[in-house]
Amino acid sequence: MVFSGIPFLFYFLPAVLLLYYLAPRRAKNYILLAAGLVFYFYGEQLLVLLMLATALVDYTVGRLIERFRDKKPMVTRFALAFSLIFDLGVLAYYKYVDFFIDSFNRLFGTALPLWGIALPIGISFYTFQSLSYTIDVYRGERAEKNFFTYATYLTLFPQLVAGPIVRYREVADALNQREHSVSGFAEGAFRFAVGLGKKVLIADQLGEFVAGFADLPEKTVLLAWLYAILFMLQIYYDFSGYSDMAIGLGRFFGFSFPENFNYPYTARSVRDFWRRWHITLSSWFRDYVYIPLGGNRVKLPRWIFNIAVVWFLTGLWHGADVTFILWGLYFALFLVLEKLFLQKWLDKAPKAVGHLYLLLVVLLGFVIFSASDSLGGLSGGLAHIGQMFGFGGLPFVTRQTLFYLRDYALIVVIACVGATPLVRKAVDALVKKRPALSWVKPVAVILLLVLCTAELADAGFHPFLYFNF
Amino acid sequence: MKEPSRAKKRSLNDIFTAVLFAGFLGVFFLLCLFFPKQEISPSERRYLETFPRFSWERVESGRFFNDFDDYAADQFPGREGFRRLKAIERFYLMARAQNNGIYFSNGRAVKIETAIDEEMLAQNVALWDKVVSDFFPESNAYFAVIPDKNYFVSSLTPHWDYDAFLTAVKEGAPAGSSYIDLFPLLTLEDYYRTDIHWRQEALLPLAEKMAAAMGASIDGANAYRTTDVSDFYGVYYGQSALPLAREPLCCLESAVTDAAEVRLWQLGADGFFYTDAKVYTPVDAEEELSDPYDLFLSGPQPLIEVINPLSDNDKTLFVFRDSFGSSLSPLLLSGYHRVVLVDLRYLPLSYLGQVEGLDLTCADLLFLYTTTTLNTMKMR
Repeated sequence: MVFSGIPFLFYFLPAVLLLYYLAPRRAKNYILLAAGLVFYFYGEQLLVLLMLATALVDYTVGRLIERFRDKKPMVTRFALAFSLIFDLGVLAYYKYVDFFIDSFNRLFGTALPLWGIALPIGISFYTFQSLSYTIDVYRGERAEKNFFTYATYLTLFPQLVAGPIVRYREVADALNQREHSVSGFAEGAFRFAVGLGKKVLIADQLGEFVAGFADLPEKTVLLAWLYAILFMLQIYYDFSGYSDMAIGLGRFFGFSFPENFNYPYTARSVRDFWRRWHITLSSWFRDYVYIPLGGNRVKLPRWIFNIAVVWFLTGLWHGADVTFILWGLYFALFLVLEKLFLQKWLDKAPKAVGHLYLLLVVLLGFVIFSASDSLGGLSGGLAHIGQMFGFGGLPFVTRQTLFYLRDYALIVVIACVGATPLVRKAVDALVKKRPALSWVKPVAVILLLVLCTAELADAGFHPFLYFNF
Repeated sequence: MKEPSRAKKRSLNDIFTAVLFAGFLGVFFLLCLFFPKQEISPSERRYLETFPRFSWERVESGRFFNDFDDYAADQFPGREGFRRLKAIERFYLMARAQNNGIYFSNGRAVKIETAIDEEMLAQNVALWDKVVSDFFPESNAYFAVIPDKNYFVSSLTPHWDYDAFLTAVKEGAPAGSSYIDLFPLLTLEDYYRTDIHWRQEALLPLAEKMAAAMGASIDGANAYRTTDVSDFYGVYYGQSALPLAREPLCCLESAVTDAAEVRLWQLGADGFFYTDAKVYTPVDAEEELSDPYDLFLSGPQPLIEVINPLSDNDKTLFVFRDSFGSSLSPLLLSGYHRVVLVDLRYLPLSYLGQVEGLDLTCADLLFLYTTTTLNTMKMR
């Protein structure tokens, strides 16, 4: 079930909200747990048991670690190791086993058959959440005593399948005691509607071009650039739209989830970009991989190694394909270059240079990122980049290209402006100056809902890009 | 004093936002549950999904939920209005050039098609060779391709490579067959504004050229009278979802079409049989799922035999065709004693020899298909 689908919006969500608000306080978590299980069962059926097994294992491990923390360190270490092996083993089996077999076949010329295992939706997200819980308990955080409360946390449907990656300690208090208010609900409604609009009105329309690009009979240099720009905007609006919806849904139920995006395309360096893009994933890798490896308090060669490991894993997390690994290492390269000399140079240059540098790096990075799905793999992605710079022997522009430029011109302008804080700042300033304009918020909510409903009533299935990660 | 006032306004604003949001979801939740379900979508001319069959096997496999997704979208209350709103949002708010692949050029709806399915095209054209060798080795074979509407605006829109398309058709066509080039004879105005098809009343010059190419002599324009049948919405009306105007549906009648005997052959339990029909049978445009274009030779039919009692020769023309052939063939009828139309989408070729009572001898054999059919519909 996707947030931007009629079954979720007009069957599941109203029913859950109704039950949740009618239920007494002590029953609310059970409603959320049941809702999470139904939500996941709708998309993945019996694989919901796998998620429950993950919850049970890590809950038990958490309890064991807490119980033996001071008495038997060996037991706590063993328990943590078991949790790591179980969680990463499940992830490796469902997400990477075919990739490993395929890589082995390529390296050694063997022909081992692939296992053809379907990737359960959201497994990367809930596995990382559960992992962070056991590691945090091992590091001294308190463990959850009630299994149902822990299971509620892990199966919390607003952020279950595509983040933000919420750590247990961030919602531990709210799981046991949380406030519900009209202002919180209204805030959630606004956030959800904005996210829905980002996804349905912008990302899905951009996605139509991206999905059909490979079949276009006439390619040009300008069309290659258009693909790159549209994909870059699509993935931002798709993923940040989902995060907005998740955060909005969280507010309905009294939770405050961490922000996942902060206008990443306004960054002026790769380092800055990754502080603004998929923030909860970056901070996860920082806290559970980068810092344990020594972070930046090590000698330069070791730091470069640490960065390479983190970004190799970040790439691998995004997908079981060499393009994703290279995409991760690509960013590692720029982080190293920035550390060595580029950042100093960028700091001295006019701001526009930093912006252009970042946008170009990210743009080309996303061409590689999209290569396995849309461009026929890594070689297709590299060829596409070549075409963008005139190495493909393509004409610069044709009438067909102009058609697509016209077709997407306004939506690209809207998307570009919306990717900056300009609109928010302008609205805030206007409302501050003329408080009567604060009615723009409810009007925007209803307008977005109506327009998105119109899109959904005439559309098929629109899965989120990050469901596959 | 200002702060409490602002806080009060904010609070009212929040209440209003929350009520609007919850109200919208709540109202449509109830409507989704209790709104009467629709059986068909008249604008899209299709049956809508019904509530999926429930069984544990279907639930466990996920098929129930996939079907429920389709059901929920199809049965959404006010769906037609929302579809229209979406079209308006795309064309006017987002300034998009297309909605559901429909582009407008001077008020004429055009479907944008870009990808040639080389395998499908090759298979379909290869079947022509089998038609000739298995059934009509002695006939004069001709083939013609009808451009889809996108061809006429291809200087503005994405399109497939028509040169490559025609080359593939010509290379795959039966040896010895002759190509009749229709592309220069047609314009966008020769097609309906809101439909995929060409207008019969615009086809006389084209029919004359085709007849001449096949050595047949047909009636000229003087022999025909144009009859207005109805005003209709074409198939692109539903696909574009824009509030477009109806357009006239006409047919060309003559002494030959009046006198023609039409036999619609079908496969029954005891083999093939035919029912009598007319060249033109108006369809009630208000009737559910009706396609007014079925006016011409009763719409989609696997095998039609049209006999011209006024003919001064005994020649037979076999036309292997799609729906475009239904409106063109009546104009070729005056040149033949008999015109037989075969639609290989509905009648597998192997069945043709099993039609008892249908004479398969013919002088001329014509393959007449649109680019769209050749590229997207499998013939057997």
